[in-house]
This record gives sequence, C-alpha cells and structure tokens, in this order.
Amino acid sequence: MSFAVGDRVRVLTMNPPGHNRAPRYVRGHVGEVVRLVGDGRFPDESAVIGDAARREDIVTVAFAGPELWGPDSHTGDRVHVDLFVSYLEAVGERSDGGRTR
Amino acid sequence: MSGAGHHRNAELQARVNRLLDLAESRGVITRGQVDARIEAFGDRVTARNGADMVVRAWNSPEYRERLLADAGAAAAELGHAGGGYSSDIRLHAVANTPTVHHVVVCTLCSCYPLAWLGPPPAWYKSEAYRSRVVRDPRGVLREFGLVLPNSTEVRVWDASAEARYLVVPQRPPGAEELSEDAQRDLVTRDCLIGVAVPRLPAEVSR
Repeated sequence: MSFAVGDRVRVLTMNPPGHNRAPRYVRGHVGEVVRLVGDGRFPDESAVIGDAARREDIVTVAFAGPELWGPDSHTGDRVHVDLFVSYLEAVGERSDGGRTR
Repeated sequence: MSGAGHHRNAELQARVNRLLDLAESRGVITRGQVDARIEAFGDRVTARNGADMVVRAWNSPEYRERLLADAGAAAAELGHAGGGYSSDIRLHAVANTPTVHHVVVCTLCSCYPLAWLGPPPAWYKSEAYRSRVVRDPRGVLREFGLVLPNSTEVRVWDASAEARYLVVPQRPPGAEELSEDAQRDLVTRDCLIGVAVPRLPAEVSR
C-alpha cells in the first residue's frame, strides 16, 4: 500500500496480540496524509525478530481534533501521527453506508 | 506537571546498580565508561544544540529553508548530527507562525529528539502529559503558562515511529537587536518542545 500527500486514510480498527505502534486513540479514525516520512523497520515484526523485520513506509497523518475527540474539541486542533502504511486503508466512496467523514 | 513514580527511585537505583555490577563483572562496560557517557550528555547533548539551529534559522532565511526541508542535514551543518542509536531516526523541524503553534509528544513511550535537546524532562515522560496533550493541547499549554489565542491553530506531533520533532519558535519582537548568543539564551528546551515560547528578559521579569 502506498499513499500520497493529500490522501484521506483510515487507521484500521485492530487489536493485535503483539507489539503495535498505531496509538489506540487514532484507530478507526480518518485523517489526511501530510508528509511522507520514509521507511523503517516494521515494529510489529522487529519487536519479535529484530533487524530481520521487513521495512515499510511511514506517513504522517493529520487528524482534526473533533474527529478524534468529538464536538468538544477545538476545531483548530490537529494531531499528527506517524503511521506505518499497513496500519492504514484508503478512504474513498463507500457503498455500505459506513462512516465516511 | 510533576513526573509520577518518584517513590520508585530507590528500587530503580538498586536495579541499576545490580545491572552495572553484572555488566562490569562480565567485561561489557566499566563504570568509568558509563560516567564518560553521562558526562558527554551533560556537556554536549543539551538543548543548546537545538537553540543553535533555531537562532541560525532566525538570522538566515536560507538556513531556515534548509532546516524545514531536511532538519537532519541542517543539524549536521552546525555539527549537531544525531547519529548513534538508530540510523532510522530522522529529525523534522516544524515552525511556529503567527497563526500556528506546534507542540511535541510521544504518546506510546517517550520518543524525544535527545541529540538536539538533551535528556527529556520527567514531565515529558509522564502519563499525564502524554495522554492529555493530544486530547486538550490548549489546556495543557495553559498549565505551562502559555495561553494561546482561540484563533491559533495548535498542531500536536505524536512522535511514535521513526521521526523526531523539533519546534522552531518565532523570534520575539526586539530579539533581533540582541547578539546571537543572547538570542540563544531565549530558546529554552521548553520552547523546542513547544510548551513555551521565547520571551525577552524584560518580558520574563514582568
């Protein structure tokens, strides 16, 4: 999976048993890719097998405050989180009536 | 905000001593080498490194451009290459403007731009700071004494993967009259994390 700056993405809702570096507070939420960071060792694997872990791209995703915390949050707040791309899915047109905000 | 867990210091110290004993007895490292490393931290790995970069950016638009494009290379230009523990660590500088304020956190652990800011303060590693600054950055900044206008955008950077973030604060009005050395004194560690902004001495004493 690769993303470009400006793409809208959703962090997968997931609860894997091992190490994972997608903060819980962004899982399931939609943000915008604002920066391509480069690649790094995929932490879910490197926690177990060290340097033999595969490398994966990281992108910085910006989330609006209200998207993460609800209407009480300041609309001028943005939280940026660096996320490995396999934690993300592209947000496009959805036909299943799911959340698309 | 104060760091939690001070009551555990004695227990922690005992564990550190035990580990040092073991490492020394097995020839991994000597106490002298550990001391030398700690000394290097105290002398060379401090927030002066980050302040150096900020002041250069205040006084050179070209450097500022390079700093915002590739902070690692811009740091190396001034002899502040990070190096060391992981080649994957990349520094990224984010600049405050009249309408945007940046602040840095690591919610998952305590990732910190150590090579450019020195060892992190205890509060940076506290659960209170890490959990609250993403939820209510304005409230947390207010507790640090930094009250932002409602119209200011607050951008929080959660350094949870390979990047480290350095905030480039704005130069306070009047600071351009000061020498670069005096300007550096204005750029504290807290300014580089984003929980404070540089103030002229006259303002501070008010």
